[in-house]
Amino acid sequence: MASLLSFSFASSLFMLFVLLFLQALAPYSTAQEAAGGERRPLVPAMFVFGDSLIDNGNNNNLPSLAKANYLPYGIDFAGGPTGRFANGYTIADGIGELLGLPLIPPFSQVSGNINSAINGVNYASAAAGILDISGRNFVSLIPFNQQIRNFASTMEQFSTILGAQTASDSIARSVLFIGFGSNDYLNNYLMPNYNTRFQYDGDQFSDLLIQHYSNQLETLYNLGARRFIIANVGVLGCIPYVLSQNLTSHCSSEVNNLVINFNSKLRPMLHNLNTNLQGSQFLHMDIYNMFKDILENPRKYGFSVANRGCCGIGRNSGQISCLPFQTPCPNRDQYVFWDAFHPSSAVNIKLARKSFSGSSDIISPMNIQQLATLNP
Amino acid sequence: MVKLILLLSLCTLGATNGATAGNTTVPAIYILGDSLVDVGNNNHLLTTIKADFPHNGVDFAGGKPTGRFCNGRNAADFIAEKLGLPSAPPYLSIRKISNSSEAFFNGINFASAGAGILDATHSGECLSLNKQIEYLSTAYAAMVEEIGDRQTQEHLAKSIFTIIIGSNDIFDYVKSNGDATPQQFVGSLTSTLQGQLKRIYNIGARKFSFIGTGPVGCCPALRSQSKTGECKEVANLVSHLYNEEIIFLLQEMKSQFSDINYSFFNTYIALLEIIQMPFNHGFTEVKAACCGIGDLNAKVACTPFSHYCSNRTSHIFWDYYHPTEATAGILTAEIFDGSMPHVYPINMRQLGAL
Repeated sequence: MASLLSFSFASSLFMLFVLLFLQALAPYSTAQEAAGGERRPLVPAMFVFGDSLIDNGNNNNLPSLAKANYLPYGIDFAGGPTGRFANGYTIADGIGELLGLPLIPPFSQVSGNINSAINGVNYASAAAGILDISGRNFVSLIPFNQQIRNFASTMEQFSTILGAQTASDSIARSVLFIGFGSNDYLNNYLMPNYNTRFQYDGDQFSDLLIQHYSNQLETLYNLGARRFIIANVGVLGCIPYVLSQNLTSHCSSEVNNLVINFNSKLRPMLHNLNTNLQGSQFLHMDIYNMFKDILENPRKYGFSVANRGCCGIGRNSGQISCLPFQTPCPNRDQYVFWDAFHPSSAVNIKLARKSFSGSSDIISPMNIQQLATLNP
Repeated sequence: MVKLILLLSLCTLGATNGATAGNTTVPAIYILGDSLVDVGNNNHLLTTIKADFPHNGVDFAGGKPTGRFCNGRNAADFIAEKLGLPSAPPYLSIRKISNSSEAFFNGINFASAGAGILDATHSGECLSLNKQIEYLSTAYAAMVEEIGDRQTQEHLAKSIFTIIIGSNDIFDYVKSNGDATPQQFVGSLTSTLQGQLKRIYNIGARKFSFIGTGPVGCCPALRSQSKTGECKEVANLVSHLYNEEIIFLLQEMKSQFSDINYSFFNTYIALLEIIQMPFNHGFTEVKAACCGIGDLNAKVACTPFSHYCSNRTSHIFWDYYHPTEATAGILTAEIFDGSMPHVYPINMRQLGAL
């Protein structure tokens, strides 16, 4: 008797899953208001890959020294601390909202329960880089290669539940948001206990990273993904942690030059993928220049503090990260940086909005809204 | 004949505990650690790290110093009280008496002020954790001689092993200007500790109560290094990271040795809450020590020449490093009956009842 019941429960869940996915395949030109006032999603799902800029809890249960599942992280988030390295939303949350999706769950919450992956999954992990060895000072993390394997296992489960064709159509219309590179510099190349800066000069290192990155994106394409938003690396030389390393609190041109060098190779790499991988759309999101504008003209964006973290300790509130129960600044919307490394949610939301409907100087060859409403 | 009496008294001890305490059948506590729980081991050592002089112990029974770095009872005493047991005496006192082996069954306190995970921490001035474990092993051998291996193992398996260690290693790290990042330093501590916990397990411990390090940057000694008396945050960062790693160490141990149980106490967040909301517990003095000399009464230890405050229950800290009896009492209540996230995954009462 018990087994019959569980069979019918599982099969009705299955039907619900299928129905929701099929519904999501219908084309929309804008996110329409459905009954109940919720926006209908522009895409079936969003899958997120990256580091602490967009990690929403994957490190919480790892033996990692890079986690944020305690106050005051999440102080402005409805549910409190989740593991996000911000006071509220990350840029991925902002983009998901504009796409009409609910908040995407972290892989750590989804892995046993495929039904909760219906709107997408967030695989991002704090300290992760393009290279497996980046970020190891924080002990445990999920590097990009492992995030890709996690995505592959999600795809396999979708295929089993929905059938290969339906799953593949759905993934092809879903959006992948990806951002890597910061940890390959901060927690690898620039880390005293790593040897990479002796093995490679800046140019050789960015070549190495770009080569790996290109292979990784191609792997995702081979797993069925077609629509990609790739964020370049931000202005690392001006984050409070780096500012605090020198007594004059100036941005580090050494760090920024390394990042600019990497970013300059990212754009042509994506162009190559667009050309060679049939049916793919790789968008290049210029976080660096958007952020640079905010740092140079903070008041234009409503910010008054651009050189110190809202929660942190020491010079520039950036020498030491935000510790449990530390009191953050009260006027968080005025701060560009939340802690020593990460932007505030106010910045994250602005970046999301600009990329959603922005022009080609920010995001190219089209913006996110255009990507989402492309005909299949 | 002696062995028979001992066996009988062990059984009745267990039964009495069960009847009166009503909540545990813990026959004994074995404590390893540092000055937060030292009850007099350092009195026997040739060291400057001692507290067997006034004004330490001003609020202890009889007003006499005992070697405790406190005005009165410390966490070791409060834990014993909660378990309905006498406070375990210091090892170096017990081993001098004639029937020491019998006394071992009632609990032993190996803690030594200045002790760290690393042998280099106050080397030569205290009993390092490694030394304490050696003594535990010696005591074990003596117990086996008394009542045999099986009975000793049974006794130890039901006892609680409380470990409070790490603060001194952290103070040394902060003082030195070494190359290791906080993460690397914490890694070196926990990889050493892992081996030490295994040795304690091999001697027979099955119930581990691990007390994490507090926001050590907020003790008067470190606060007095800043002009504004702010907490020394690099120390707090290391303490926070260390506690995170301890939890994983304990989880890993449990997956390796399924017959252990543990209770971890997150002193960092428990004491930080008290520091941030002192009035909830009747405290009015958060930064300054009650007894000592200099800025925040924290430049010099509590000696007979130091002044000390009259309102000791209003102070969080007794001297430049150590909490008052009042603070120790509040924290122990949490250790014993607290819930997550202060304790993980269970509290000490639950550990004792398993």
